[in-house]
Amino acid sequence: MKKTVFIMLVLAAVMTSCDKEENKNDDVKTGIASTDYMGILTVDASSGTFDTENIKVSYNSTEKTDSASITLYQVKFSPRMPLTLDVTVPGISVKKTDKGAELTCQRVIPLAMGGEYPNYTVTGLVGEIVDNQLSLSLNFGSTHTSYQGEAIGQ
Amino acid sequence: MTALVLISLLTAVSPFGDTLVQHLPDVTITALKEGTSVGNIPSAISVMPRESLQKKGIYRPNALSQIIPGLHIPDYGASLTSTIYLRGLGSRMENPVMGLYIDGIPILDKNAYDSDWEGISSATMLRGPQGTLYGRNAMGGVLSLSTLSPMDDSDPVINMEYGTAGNVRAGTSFIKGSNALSSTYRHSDGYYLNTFKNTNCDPYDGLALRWRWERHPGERIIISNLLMTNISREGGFAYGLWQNDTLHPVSYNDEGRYSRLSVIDGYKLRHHGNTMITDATASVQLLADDMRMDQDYTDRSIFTLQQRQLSGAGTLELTLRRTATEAIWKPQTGVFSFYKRNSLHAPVVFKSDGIRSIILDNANSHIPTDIGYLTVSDQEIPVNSDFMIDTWNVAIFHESVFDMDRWLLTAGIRLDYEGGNMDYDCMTRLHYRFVPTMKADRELSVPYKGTVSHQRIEVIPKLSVLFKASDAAVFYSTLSKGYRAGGFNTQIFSDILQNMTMNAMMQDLGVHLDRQFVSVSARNTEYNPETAWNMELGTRLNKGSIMTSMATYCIFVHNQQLTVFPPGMSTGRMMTNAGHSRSYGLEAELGWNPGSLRSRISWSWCDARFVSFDDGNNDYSGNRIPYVPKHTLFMNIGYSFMIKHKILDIDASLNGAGPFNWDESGTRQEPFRIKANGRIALVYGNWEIYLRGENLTDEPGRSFYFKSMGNEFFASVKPRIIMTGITIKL
Repeated sequence: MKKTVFIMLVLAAVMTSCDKEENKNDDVKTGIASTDYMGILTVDASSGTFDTENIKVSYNSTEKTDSASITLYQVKFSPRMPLTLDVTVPGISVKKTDKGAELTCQRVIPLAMGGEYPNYTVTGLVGEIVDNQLSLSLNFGSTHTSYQGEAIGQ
Repeated sequence: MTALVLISLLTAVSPFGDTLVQHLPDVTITALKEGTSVGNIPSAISVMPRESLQKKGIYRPNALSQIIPGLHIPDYGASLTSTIYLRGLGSRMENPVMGLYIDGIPILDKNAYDSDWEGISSATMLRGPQGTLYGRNAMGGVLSLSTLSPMDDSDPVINMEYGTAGNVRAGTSFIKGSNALSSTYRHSDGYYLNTFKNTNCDPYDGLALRWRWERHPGERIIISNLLMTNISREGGFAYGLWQNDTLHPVSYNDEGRYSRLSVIDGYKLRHHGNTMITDATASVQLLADDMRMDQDYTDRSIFTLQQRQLSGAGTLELTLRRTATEAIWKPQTGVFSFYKRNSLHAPVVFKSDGIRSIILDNANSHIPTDIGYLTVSDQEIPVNSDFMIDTWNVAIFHESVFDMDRWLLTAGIRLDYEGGNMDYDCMTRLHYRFVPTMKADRELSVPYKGTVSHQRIEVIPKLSVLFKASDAAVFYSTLSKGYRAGGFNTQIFSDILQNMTMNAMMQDLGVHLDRQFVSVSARNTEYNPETAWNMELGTRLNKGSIMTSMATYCIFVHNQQLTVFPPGMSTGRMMTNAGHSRSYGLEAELGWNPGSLRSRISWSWCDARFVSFDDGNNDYSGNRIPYVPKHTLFMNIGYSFMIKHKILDIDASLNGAGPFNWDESGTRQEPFRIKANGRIALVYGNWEIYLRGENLTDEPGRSFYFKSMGNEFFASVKPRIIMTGITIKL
């Protein structure tokens, strides 16, 4: 029994390999500085795909050289939602490339409304930062979402 | 300022006036500013001497209702309420439409209007806008009280009465040398039971002291000082819930009381020069009061309001008038100024039911239930609001009276500058949690500080013509303007903070509602003066024992100060310049006093309607202005029987007012209702014992209506009151 629990915990740790620690320190450890982007968010909602323009996303590098968090501001996951949310995806793995950086995260519970919000657990996050452009593809719960934005103030 | 009232009046001023003018000596300083005799004033005017005030049990301003045609001062709430309606003008909030002067001293704060009247020797009411001479707030008229003067020939008087509801009233007034003193103590157990607390909600205890000192150090100089203090502590706010066409008893669980200390000192100097009379008046006015109110008026713990203010003000006025009474041209020029500083502490406290029903239910209604919901751990959330309000005014005025035998022309103008500044310092602090995401409460503080100010200049002209058809009859026509001062909506700040707090909470959570909690900002809390143009035709006739007066008027009100629903989600209403209105009216008085019989009828008809008014939710253009009675009626008859060396005096009257619309839409109405009052007195030498009654038929009318949080409330008129008393002249 103990073995089973231990194995499950290890598996869970591997599966949620994204680091939840975050620190909005602007020190550039990965070579990618904390940057704000403005762009289009595309949500594949159950009622159909819809775009929202002028969505701000903040890329925040952390003290760890290979980790970052991303905050999406005023996101709506359904056109009928009477509100928008600020959602932070912590513990994103960052790998520097020749052109910029690749972003990945297998699974993480995002932060919203003052704490962890498991209903919107993020899975399958992939993205890249190239030439002041941020592109993301991820699932919030069962809702696939993508983002394409350009750095602002550059 | 003041005017010399001449004993040789050509005509009676009102059916009450005969007694007054017979007893006023040449040197008496009244509070009237008009540069002519009372009978030549081109306005509707009523004068009540001390004897009439006593016989009708008029010891407070609201007892003048209906006796003065068109005047309606409903008796509800507490002493600070003093809501005055006159000729279709008036509102339940902020500045009054009637100026109050006591011995020429303007009473600046409406909260000090309602005081006991022991030692008042006459009450004079000028109806219609009197802005040219009296300035701000004299838009509907001016009530001028004269106090007992050391120069009066008056015996010391002690008066005591006791009656229904544990009412006790004891007063005394006497003259000693250069001093005239009067005092009143009044107590009431209250009339209305608060069924939640099982005690009366409106007990009253008050003490009023008045000391007038006056000397004539030379033939040409009169100096006087008037000191008035009033201290009271009372309950109030006897409002019952109206539900299913039934008026429920008063039942509220939080504190409802009002305490007040008012100190007013006025100094006057008059100099009779060879060609000019100079009057100088200065006053210092202090008011400290504290109101606590269960603002939902129910037995639930929703929200309470405190309003504690400490204000100090100073006034100065200087007028010059031509001495020669026989001259054709009688000019009067004056300057007036005042400065007032008011420190106001007005927190609204949301209690457990209010936090749930007003704050949380409101906020959570915007959040889908599958996302989560907000909770607040505080039992009470205080919305602290502190204000420092400065108001200042400088005015210069001139009025010329051209007295050409039978014709009297009056032209005047006033240039009135008023400024105001309000520093506000508000703060809300609470502890909230969003379930399920937050594991612990989070403190949220929302401060709101700043300053708003305003300045306005008003030009207030007046033009009138009076024709003396005979020694008995005058006809007049007047075009005049008045204004009611602007100000700041302090009461809306709790709404502003409430909305700011909910927005800040959402911001703190990272939740952005499609429909934000919108409210006005401090910049929008200022409202401008309301102005009224009055066109009036009137006549006064005096033939033997018959005296009549009649006036018809047409008043147009611009920038009307009205309460509206602010934009967004709000629990309150705010004053703003939202509309225009007009009033048409007719007022008539008839008095017949043959021998020992005295009789009088006062009647008014007023059709006051909005020309345009949209409160943000509905358009009420064309509807009747609420709270304004269509008719007022006063019928009085009295007779003094001589029985050997005794006098039996009987006095009976009927007071009626209505119908009213209680709201702008007219869905709630009050019919015309009449109350019967009476007094029977036996006078023997210097002793008088009497029995008097108010609302003898126990007419169950209603005196006030309002809505709070969707609930409707009424205040009932006071039930039958029987008082027995004794007056002794020493």
